[in-house]
Amino acid sequence: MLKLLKYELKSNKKLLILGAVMFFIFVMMRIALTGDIFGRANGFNLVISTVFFGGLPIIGLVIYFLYATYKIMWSEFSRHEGRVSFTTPISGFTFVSSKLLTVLVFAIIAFVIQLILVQNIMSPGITSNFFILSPTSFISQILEQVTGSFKHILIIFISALFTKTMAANVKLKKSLAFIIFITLHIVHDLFARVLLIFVDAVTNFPLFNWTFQAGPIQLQNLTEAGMYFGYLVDIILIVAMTFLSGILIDKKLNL
Amino acid sequence: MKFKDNMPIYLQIIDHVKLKIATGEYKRAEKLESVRDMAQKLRVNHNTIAKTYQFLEKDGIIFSKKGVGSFITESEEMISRIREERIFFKISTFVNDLRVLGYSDKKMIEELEKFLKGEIQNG
Amino acid sequence: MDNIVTIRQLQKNFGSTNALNSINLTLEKGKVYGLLGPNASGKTTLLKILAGLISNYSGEILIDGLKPSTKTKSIVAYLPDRSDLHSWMTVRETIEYYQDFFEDFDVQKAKKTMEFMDLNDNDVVEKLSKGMKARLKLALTLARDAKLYLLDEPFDGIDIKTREKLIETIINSQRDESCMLISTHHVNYVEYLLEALVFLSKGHILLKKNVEQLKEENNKSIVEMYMEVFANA
Repeated sequence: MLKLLKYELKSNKKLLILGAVMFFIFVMMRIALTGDIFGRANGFNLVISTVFFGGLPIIGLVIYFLYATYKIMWSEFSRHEGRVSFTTPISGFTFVSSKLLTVLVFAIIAFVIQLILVQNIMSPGITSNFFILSPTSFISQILEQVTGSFKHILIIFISALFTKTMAANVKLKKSLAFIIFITLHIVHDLFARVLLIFVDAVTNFPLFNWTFQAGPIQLQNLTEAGMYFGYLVDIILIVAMTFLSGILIDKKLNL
Repeated sequence: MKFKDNMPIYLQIIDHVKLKIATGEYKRAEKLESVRDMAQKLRVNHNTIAKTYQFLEKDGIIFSKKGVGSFITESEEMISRIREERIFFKISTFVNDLRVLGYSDKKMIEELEKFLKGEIQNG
Repeated sequence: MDNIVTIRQLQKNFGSTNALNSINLTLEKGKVYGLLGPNASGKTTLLKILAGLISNYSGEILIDGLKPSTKTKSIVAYLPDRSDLHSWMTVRETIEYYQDFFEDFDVQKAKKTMEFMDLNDNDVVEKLSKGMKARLKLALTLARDAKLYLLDEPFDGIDIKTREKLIETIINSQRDESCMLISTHHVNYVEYLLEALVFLSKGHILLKKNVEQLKEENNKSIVEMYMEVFANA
């Protein structure tokens, strides 16, 4: 697995460097804004901060992340580039996992920078704190964004994988993949709603209105527990979908 | 070595080895190339060479010492026989070809003598 | 003689097209086979299935007694007709890559062959010409000590010098325990290397025989036999 990661990262060296550079630039920018370099003229500050140090970079980041994800997950499938990977003795699950871990690196870069930028929008140059959010809040935000985006990445990946596996020679394979994508999305959506109702019902049950404390972890009522339970379910879903895509690659590949 | 396409390769190589023995290029009791080296030299499949060596050994033309390799026969008699076989083959081909052209035995000998004395020119 | 590959009733369809039609085939260890046939006869499909690039088929396949899987990939070396190496890698990195993922990879042999092929450590795959890419692919593939080598059209579209280097490397890489299956239109380049031929047409095996036997029985060259077998196919 480590070897795979080595090659995945090497393969995207340029993007990685770009990410590191962006990280550096935006952190510097944040420091600059926090240090109130642009003066206290409100109107100027607000527009500049929101658009140029907030909105536009965020859009750029989204494009960056989407492109990196596409390249990492799909490049060996779309062209003949790197297809030697499929002749190596690596299971489908390991193969997909290594790709997701690589995407994770980019996800963290993108989401951390994005949070810093969001703070530019939320409080341009007014506060002297680097972070507005508390560390735990910061981490849970990242966690949520990562699990959320990874679920969607996998749904898209599995749908697309159909065009290279079971549906490889079906006439309307792209439409079929799209239908599968929509279906998986709806199923996931319904599942999430049901889960929410369930967690809600459980946590609002009078019996469960207490505080739980174990070391540094303090959970008020069960609402926070419900939140972490949500993350756990997400991770299980992600692992299950990784496993499923691994099976598609191992047993139904059609390159 | 140029091979004929329509004849099994191993037969051609056997012939090739016999020729080299007849001309003296391969000397009595001399060590032969290994199967691998011979295959590389002639650019053929090594199983073909293995088969060739097997046949040559069966006919007593070569022998192998386990762990050392294959060698040309030590028997002078065998080498003379190979040479004679070759000469016989060449002569019989010559005779048959000339018979097909309508030459009698006597005429054949005459023409042969003329050639050896340098009297027959080409063209 | 042991069989390294046993295929029974292998069927592969691409949509409504039959690529391989219920074929049966066995390949012996240590033999070099020529897989011959016109375009679209199913040669590449067969090789891809054995290599693990296509795992969606019906029928029974055993490679060294195992079903094609992650495990068999470590004993099968595949040379595809198209370039499949990571284009961003340098020659040195491709050697490292093969070394990392294939246990049977012989680094010394690879380096020696690279030198013979005039490939430099720092050449980037992307920037190599077609001939140089072909040399690199073959050097990497044959540096593996695999039980089964699958070469798909190794001589397609390359210059004479490259061709000669490839042929010499293939000849020098013969191993007693390895089986080679070479799919090619250019039979004449490897005529003396092939021990047996498999003629494939439209997903059917028309003929499978030893070369020497064919020559003894028919007094024809491989090319002549090919023309005869495929005259009506």
